[in-house]
Amino acid sequence: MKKSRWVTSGVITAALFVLGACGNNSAATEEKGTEIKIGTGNDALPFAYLNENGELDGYDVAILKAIDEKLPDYTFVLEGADFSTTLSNLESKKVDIAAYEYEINDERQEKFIYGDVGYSVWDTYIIFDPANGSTYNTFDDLAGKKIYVTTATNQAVMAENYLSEHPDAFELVYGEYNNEQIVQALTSGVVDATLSPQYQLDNWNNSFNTSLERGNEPVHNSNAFLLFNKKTDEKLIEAVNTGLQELIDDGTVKKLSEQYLKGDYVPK
Amino acid sequence: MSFDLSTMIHSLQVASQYIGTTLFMAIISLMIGMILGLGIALIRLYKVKVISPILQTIITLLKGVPIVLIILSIYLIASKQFDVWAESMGWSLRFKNFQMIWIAIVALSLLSTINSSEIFRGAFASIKKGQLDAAHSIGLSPFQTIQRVLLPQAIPVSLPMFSNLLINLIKASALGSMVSVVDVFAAAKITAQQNYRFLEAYIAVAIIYWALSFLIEKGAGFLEERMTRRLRRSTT
Repeated sequence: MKKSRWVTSGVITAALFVLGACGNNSAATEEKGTEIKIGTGNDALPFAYLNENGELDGYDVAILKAIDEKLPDYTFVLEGADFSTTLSNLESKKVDIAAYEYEINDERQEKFIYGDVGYSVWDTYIIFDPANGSTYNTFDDLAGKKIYVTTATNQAVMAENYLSEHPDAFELVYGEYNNEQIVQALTSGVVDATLSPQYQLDNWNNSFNTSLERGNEPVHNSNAFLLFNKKTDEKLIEAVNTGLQELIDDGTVKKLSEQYLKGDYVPK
Repeated sequence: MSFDLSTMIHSLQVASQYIGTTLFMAIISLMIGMILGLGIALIRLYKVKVISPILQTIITLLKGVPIVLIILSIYLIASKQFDVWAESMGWSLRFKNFQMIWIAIVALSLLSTINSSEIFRGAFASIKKGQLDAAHSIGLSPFQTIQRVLLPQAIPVSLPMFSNLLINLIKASALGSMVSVVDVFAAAKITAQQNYRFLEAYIAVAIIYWALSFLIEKGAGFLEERMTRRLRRSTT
């Protein structure tokens, strides 16, 4: 009786131990290293969005996952939010890293640390419909024309900056157009041009079957970078920077760009 | 996040220059809506054959459509079709020369027409049926009945509802930025785009909208009191 009880308890202990070990095992694969919270988007197709399974997916997300694989000391946990919420989450250190196609601007440079390497090109070009008879390469070509910009975007700031140096050079049309409206406005001649990166131009031409064109030179050079909180561990920042550089060098980022963005938008 | 009072005051100054645009959109659409809405309510009151059920269906359909959708649809339809119509009508006006504010006004007028027709219908319903029979019996024509019996009683009753409608239109006019009308809201956002101080801009906008609504409500209350007093005097 006594013996069998010992055996039973021994078996139970062993079973618990095995079960516990299982649990530990799976936990070990999930929680290896320090957990790092990363802020990104959940509705920014194709950069960071929730896919049909309700999981975060997209170009930025895939890059982060690839970096995570390179860094055994850290485990990335992604959190989706909208653009400005992600920024304030980073500011309050709710997340350590933010990836949401963030471009450089002065305000952000003051508050955050930028990654060393850009991972997508956001060079801004003048976009127009050549069917309306003119081509525009620089802001100077736009004298007396109507330019559409979406309120409160970097493109609006660029145009305003040019206008502050060249008052009344062109007419800015502010709005909150969706893609179809922008394309309609360009093709119907309601506005003469707009400002946008190459990626968006390709997207418009593919989605709406138009043949919009861009000026030959960008009017503004910019790349998207990862952002870090100023208090984020320096070792982590360095590890992420090197990881990303390696991924760019070995062509992984280019492959992801082709997969998600349907083209090579990796900064050269 | 820090809050910068001077930025907010700057936003307030810039945005308040566009109060005129906001009020223009709201008031013009209110007036268009009141005229059309009165017509629709009368047609439905007198149960005009064929037109009345058609209007009823249209109103039921449009009531369920958000104003954002109406504005966007009107913009897209107009940008594709306006030039074709204009050409066939022999107008020289083209879509690219079109003031975008009118697209917002058309959309807001639709909203206000639907609401006004319902407000008038409700106000007419508050008038006892016997009054119409009485008017008929003393030989008043339908037009005279409308002018002397229906409207003098319906307008004071519906005034609070119309002031509400005007407030709603003012708030809805913020959607004008979707078709590139720069109103109070858009202007404030433009002030914020350089330095990303959106909270300050939004608070400035809220103050403006709140002040406008407050003034309208007070004004309507004052008007209503005067009208009912006059009405009471004329009936006693």
